[in-house]
Amino acid sequence: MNGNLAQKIDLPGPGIYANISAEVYHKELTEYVSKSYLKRLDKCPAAAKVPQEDTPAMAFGRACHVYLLEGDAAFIKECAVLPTGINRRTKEGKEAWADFEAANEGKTLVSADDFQKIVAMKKALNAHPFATKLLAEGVSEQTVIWQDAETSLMCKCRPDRIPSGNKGVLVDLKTCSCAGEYEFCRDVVKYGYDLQAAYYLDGIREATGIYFDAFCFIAIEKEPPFRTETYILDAEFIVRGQYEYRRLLKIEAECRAKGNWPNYEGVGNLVTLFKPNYL
Amino acid sequence: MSENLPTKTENSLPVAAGFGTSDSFELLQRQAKLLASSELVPQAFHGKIANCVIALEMANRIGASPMAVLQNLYIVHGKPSWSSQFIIAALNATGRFSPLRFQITGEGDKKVCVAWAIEKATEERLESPPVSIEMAKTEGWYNKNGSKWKTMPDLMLRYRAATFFGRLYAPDILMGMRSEDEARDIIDITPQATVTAESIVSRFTDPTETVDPETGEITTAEQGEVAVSDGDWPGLPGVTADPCPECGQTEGHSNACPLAEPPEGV
Repeated sequence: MNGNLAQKIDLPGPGIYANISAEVYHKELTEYVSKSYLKRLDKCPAAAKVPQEDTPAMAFGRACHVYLLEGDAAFIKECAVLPTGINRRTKEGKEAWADFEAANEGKTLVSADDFQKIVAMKKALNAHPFATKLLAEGVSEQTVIWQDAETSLMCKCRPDRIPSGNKGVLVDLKTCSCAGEYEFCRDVVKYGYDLQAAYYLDGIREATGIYFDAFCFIAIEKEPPFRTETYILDAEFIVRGQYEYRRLLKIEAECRAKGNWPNYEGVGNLVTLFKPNYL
Repeated sequence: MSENLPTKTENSLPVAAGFGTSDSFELLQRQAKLLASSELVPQAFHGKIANCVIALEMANRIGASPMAVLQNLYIVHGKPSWSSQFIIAALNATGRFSPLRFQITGEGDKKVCVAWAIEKATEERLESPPVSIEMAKTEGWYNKNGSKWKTMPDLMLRYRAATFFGRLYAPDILMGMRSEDEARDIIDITPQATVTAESIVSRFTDPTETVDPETGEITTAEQGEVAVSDGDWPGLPGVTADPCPECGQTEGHSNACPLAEPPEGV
């Protein structure tokens, strides 16, 4: 089914592409399975199909990524800082606002306060000895596309950074409320970063045939003092991630075969809840 | 007068090498030292007293000769494992079963091998779980690099069936260990297992170090790096794509540009 569709509208085949914009990646390549899609599928199959609304937190995260990974020029191209001092209750204010919106259509908007934070985050990032090495030389904005051998599903991912020099390492920037080991470990479980690490590493190996074996996280706090730490996951974590994404890919393949993404898990059985240990 | 003196032999019991008492441990170490100094023991034991101690203890436990254990114990992926021949020999030597026999049925992928023997105590025919070529393929043993399943399928079928037989009916001989060929077949599929924070840091400290695309080994690169090649995609209808840096076209080739130079550094 996928193969036919790919031919019909000429979707990209397996490989690594430098010329697919973030917008195309998110809005056009919907036939391809991404990590965030799988994570939503994990809730229940129907959740994966709910259209994603752009929240302020997502806009902030996006602006962070652009500024911290790609620099000033890319930030100016893709984001805009909201002007301060516009009173939208006055006529002039309304006009000024309309002008601003018209001039920055399609860009990610961040408030002046948020922008100050982003600048401070970059400073904090540059002060971290190993994070600077991870980001020293490399490419961002690469789209990786591969076909999963078992389910034949087309998959995609967009690593934050691929360090140059054949290091076998992918780098991902994560904003968080606390970059400490314990707290970030909880984030890994909560947001499925283990799944992401396994999915990306397997994907880029599949797409390029080049050996990647490490997925480094740069965890950076969103509030002062912007603590920054770098982490990798241990082998057990990666195996768990692998198991999870494989399980979810199979669910997706089943749903596609049936053409139905149900709003319940499995076959919709009656389930017994067991009293948790913490009660 | 000599009658009054205690003689050495009267008071000391014969000492057996082992971990039980300080005397027996002393003896075990002396034996191990001797074996370790021999040039005829395999490399994993040569000059390694601790490894020899373990081999001696295993020989003692299963009642085999120390030399047989030394010759048939392999270290695969850091774990000890028996050679398949040794498992078959040890099974035959227990005296509990008739000599191990093999029954082969079917052809091609459906070729199935069952190892069997008669248990002397009960005169019952004991059979191993069936091992087939199909199983070797689905388990991923068959398609491994340098797999003996492709070149010597009949021998591998018998070896694996014997290992399974031993695991079920004489676990005391196998001591929870795998056969050597089995251990090579069943390795952890996660190469991530070897990645440590230190190894990653070192990749970023020494710019000449790279990771081997096949094995994940870190080596010092001498020639130019093989890096991610950026393919090109003409874009969806109605979506403008950046023109290909090589030929300037915005459509026409769906992956790597045919005019592109061999991939360079990213």
